[in-house]
Amino acid sequence: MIKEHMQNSLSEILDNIEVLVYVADFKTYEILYVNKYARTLFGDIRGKICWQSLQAEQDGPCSFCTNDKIITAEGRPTGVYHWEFQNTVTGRWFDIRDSAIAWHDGRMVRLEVATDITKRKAAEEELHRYEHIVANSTDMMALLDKKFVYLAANKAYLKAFDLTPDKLIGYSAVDVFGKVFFETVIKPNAQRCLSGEHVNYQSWFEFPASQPKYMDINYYPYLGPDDMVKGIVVNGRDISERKQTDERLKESESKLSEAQKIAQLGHYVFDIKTSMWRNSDELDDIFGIDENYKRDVNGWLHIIHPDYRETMLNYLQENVLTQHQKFDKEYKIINCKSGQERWVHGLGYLKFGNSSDPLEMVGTIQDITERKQQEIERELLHKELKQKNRELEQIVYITSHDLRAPLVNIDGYSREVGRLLKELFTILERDEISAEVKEKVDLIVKKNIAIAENHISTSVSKMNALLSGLLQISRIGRFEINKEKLDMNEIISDIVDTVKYQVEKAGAKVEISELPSCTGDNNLINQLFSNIIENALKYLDPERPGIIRFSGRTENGSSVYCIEDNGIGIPPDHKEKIFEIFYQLKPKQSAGEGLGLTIVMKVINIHHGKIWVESEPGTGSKFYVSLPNG
Amino acid sequence: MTKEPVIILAEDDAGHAGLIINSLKRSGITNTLLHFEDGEDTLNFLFRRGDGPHREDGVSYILLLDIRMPVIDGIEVMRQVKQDEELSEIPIIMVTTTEDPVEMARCWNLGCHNYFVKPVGFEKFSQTMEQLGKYINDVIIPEIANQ
Repeated sequence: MIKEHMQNSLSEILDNIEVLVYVADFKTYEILYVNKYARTLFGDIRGKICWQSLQAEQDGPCSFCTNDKIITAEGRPTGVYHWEFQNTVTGRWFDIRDSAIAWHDGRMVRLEVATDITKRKAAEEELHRYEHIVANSTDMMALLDKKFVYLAANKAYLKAFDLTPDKLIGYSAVDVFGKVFFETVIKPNAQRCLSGEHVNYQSWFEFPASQPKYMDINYYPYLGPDDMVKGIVVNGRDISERKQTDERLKESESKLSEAQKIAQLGHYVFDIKTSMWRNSDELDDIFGIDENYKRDVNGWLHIIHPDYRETMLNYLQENVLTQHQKFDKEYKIINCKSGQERWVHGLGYLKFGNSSDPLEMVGTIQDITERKQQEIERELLHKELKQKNRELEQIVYITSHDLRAPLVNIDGYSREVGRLLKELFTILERDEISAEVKEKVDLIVKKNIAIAENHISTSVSKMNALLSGLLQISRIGRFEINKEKLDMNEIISDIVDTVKYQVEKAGAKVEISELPSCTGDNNLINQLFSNIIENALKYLDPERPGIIRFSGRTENGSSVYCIEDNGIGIPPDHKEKIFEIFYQLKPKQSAGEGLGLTIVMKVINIHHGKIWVESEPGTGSKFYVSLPNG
Repeated sequence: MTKEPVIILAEDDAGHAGLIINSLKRSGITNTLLHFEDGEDTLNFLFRRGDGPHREDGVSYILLLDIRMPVIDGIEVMRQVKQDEELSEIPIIMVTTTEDPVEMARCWNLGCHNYFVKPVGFEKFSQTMEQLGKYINDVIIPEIANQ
């Protein structure tokens, strides 16, 4: 009765604990007892075979069966066998205790008591993962207690200090870093951490096995379950490379900024979606704005000089943002700070992402006020010069023209006077005049008056020739210039054809090589080269057969022609003078008015060309003519 | 046969005028010759304005024009004459020192009958004037219709 009562109470207890309990026969593997907890997991499996009902996919008794561990071959129990196993049916982990006990019928049976430790197992697994992460991190990690004694450290930490765990764990940070470094760097930061705050700092650290490293150090308070600070979690990361990159970046940034300052050039990025722009410091100076300035399109327009605002807005919207052209414009601004008017040159390129719409515009703005002012001054000067030149040409033209009118009279009336005198003397021829007087009159009329008339007439001719020359020169600029592409091979061979007679007469030879084309006024260029070849013919050396050579080449968008002769040459001090008006190298010997090269020079100037001479007296001259090509 | 045309010489340079008149006479021109010293007087005569002499009806005229003259130059005189229906038939002969092709082209475009350049040098001048004389003789001078 008591025994039965005991049995019921025991059964009650076994059914009310969250522990798996079962009893099985050693030989038949028949399950003799299961408690309630086991039943909820596997059902009522009393009378069933244990390896069929407690485990999955077993063909016979389980290979991991512990029967042989809890009972000897002779049938004597060996005690409790303690193990952990993941059940193949439920997948749950159990802490298992097996033992052999005597069943109520006297036979020995297997008793298993198993506690579900799945949660603990998962926690362990998780911990293991963390351990793995910590162990393999390249960051240096350690845990110190409140007295700065090492409790743990990862591989990276140990490696950096070239220590094994037994040489670090249990030692103080003072031992690792030395007193000075510990007191000045580690301790102040660590103490802050111990007061509960996260501490981050960067510092150079020395290591026994490597170069000093610039480290980013984090101290996190290590909290116990009671949320009290128990120590310090240390994390150190080598940022030497980042530091160097940062420094290099800083240096290049400062150089860029310096360069921008020198060039008075700032850069900007204009975000098209938001219509906002940001810029370099130099652009702040150019615009006279600070960080509070509203950097949108209106902000930009506000900086632009009112005269240019509409044009620039139009340009930005139409040419750049709509037609996707490059931004390239010079415009006037008013510096916000100084109120000064400045000229800037804005450049910008649109940047496209994957879409066909531009994302942003990146560009530069340069202060070009000085250059622009010089340009404006130069333009003004140029205009003035052109005006003065025109006036001068007009003066030359008018005076040379008007001076001819009196010449007509001087010559005309000197003859008229001569004629009148002759008439007068015819009257004096009469008989009543004495022979002595007649003789004197005769001398005056026949000789002296003729000489006077001759002088007047020579001077008039000379003056007329000079005026004609002046007129001719001034007339060159008065015609409309009609520039076109000119086939110089054709032009030169035509010119040589027209002077064929003179060439033959001089017994000279003309050689022409292939000539590049040029751009100019057909008539003027014809005149230019005609004059040069006529000049060359005029100054050939009578002592040797003359050769005149034409050659040409192109050079930086210009055509350079060379006219080479083997004539008498030009003395060095005359090289400039030959282009002067009315200048003649040998005035007594040569015909003409000394205008040829002056006309050449004028034609050269009209075409913005160049002419220069290389010459050796007694050997010959080379005239180089450079004219625009295209 | 109409009456010999009257030659109008518009020439500001008195010397030139003298030389021209003498040369023409020597080359056998006997026509009546009127000399005006500027373009304004010339126009006043032709358009019958002002106190000076006025053009007469029933007389043919031939106009010798210098280009560069004070107040109103030869080109302007020609322009006004050519614009007037009645006067536009008057033959105009330029007699000038200007040999600038641009000026010459302007005169031809405005409708001058001939263009003579006064050369420097007595012989050439005389020859030119002889040619001018011949030309005047050869030109048929229409009579200006009565108004």
